[in-house]
Amino acid sequence: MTPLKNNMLIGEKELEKYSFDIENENYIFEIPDNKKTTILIYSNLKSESNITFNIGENSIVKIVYFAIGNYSYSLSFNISKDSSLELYTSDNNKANSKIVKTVNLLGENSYFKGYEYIYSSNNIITGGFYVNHLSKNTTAESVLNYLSNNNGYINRDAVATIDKNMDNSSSSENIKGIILSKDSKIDSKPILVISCDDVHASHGCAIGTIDDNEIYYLMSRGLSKEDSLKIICKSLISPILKEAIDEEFYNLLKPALFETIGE
Amino acid sequence: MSELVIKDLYASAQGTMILKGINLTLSEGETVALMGPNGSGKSTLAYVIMGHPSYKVESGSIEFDGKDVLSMTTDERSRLGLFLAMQSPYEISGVTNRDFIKQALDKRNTSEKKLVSYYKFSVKLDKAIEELKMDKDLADRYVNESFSGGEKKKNEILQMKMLEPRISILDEIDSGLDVDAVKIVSENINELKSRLNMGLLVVSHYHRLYEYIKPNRVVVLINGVIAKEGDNSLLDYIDTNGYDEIRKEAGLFEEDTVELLETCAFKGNK
Repeated sequence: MTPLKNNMLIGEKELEKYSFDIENENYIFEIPDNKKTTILIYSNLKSESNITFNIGENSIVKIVYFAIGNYSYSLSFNISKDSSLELYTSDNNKANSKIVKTVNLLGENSYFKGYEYIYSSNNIITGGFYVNHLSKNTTAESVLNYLSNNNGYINRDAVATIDKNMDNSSSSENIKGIILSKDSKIDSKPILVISCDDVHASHGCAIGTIDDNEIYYLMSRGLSKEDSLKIICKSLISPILKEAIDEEFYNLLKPALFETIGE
Repeated sequence: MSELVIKDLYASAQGTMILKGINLTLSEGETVALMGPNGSGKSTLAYVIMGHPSYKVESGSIEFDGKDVLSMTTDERSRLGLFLAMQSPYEISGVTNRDFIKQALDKRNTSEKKLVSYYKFSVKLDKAIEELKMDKDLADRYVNESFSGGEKKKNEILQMKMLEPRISILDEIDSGLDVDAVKIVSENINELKSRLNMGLLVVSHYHRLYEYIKPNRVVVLINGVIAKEGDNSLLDYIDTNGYDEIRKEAGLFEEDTVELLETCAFKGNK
């Protein structure tokens, strides 16, 4: 994998993969206009940091972003006119930390589809996932999946903001949180801040322990209780693994993600 | 020949006795129709056989192949060869049908060290989907999520076809199916039964299903007790006369059934 350095121009090729050692500085990356690219990033947080990706016009971008390391950080994406971003992101953070992810739909007809998986065990993860519709006819679909175990606590909101005059925009946010142990906790709200009439917006949030009936159903087909729990937890990480289309990247990601579900 | 033998079974839910001394034997290759008015305990019996935690067995026994079923966990019962096609199948968001069924098959075959290759599994799954005239994309959709009522029922039969149980309990598998789908599902059940010599305990309120899946015996459950047993002609009798005469003959009263309905263990159970 290529080391990712500050101010690098990325997204020139159809598939790019980077290792990213995050030191104590603010990072900005530019993805040019008219590109179709998939970017895989395995980042190692060595200090707190702010990371920004600027996506040019008329580009189709998919980013799979995985972070290890025990620091707070913020990740921002600015999407220009007629461009789309599909983002798959996950963190394997073992310390208390604040993780803020922000998506700014800057240009008309910009589109965002995001999937976030965060796991907490013996730590507190705060921050939030923010989507700002800053132009007309913008679309965002965010799915946030959280898993909390062993005295873990996740306290993150999803906030979608549609400003005045951003007509014909559409935003949805869905949060699913699974609490695996009695001492763990998840607080999360799907918040819509809408200052415009002509929009479509929806939000949903389901947080709780795994439904006993789901476990029973899986067991009735021959899976043990432990296997049933695991297959449900795996369902949270499989959307990210599915997008890790490079073998080297997949082999880095898989053990880190599986570690979060006890495998 | 293997037999599922239920002896003097009493079971309760939330402190209310629902099954009151059930005696029933089901052999491999045999089809038994389990009839009865709403709230008579049919679904409860199905769930008790498959070890649903909402129900408590107060006394009695269930044996299959000479093994004590009641001492087994639900997954052990499944791997022993018992299968329950549920009236209201649960949705498992995020888990695809394909992954779920593959994992269930692998668990079933682990002890015999004959794990099914992914290729062979996929070929078999695609064939089973085609035979059930299901949409091909159902294999890769999340288990029962956003499925129509009919798709959910077909998905139960799909799992049965893939897991190949020795005894299957079909709990109102025909509800939510249109007439063509009832025929397709019945053909698949009959094929599997004949190929595997599978035993069937079939719960249905409708004559149409029994026209396709011809039962050897009919058992009528009212107020948690077996009120009458007979051959196929009992289906026609019930279709014409309902359950009133049988209830009277057995000395049972409708009020008891109403009470059962009100105290039913969990939603979806009639």
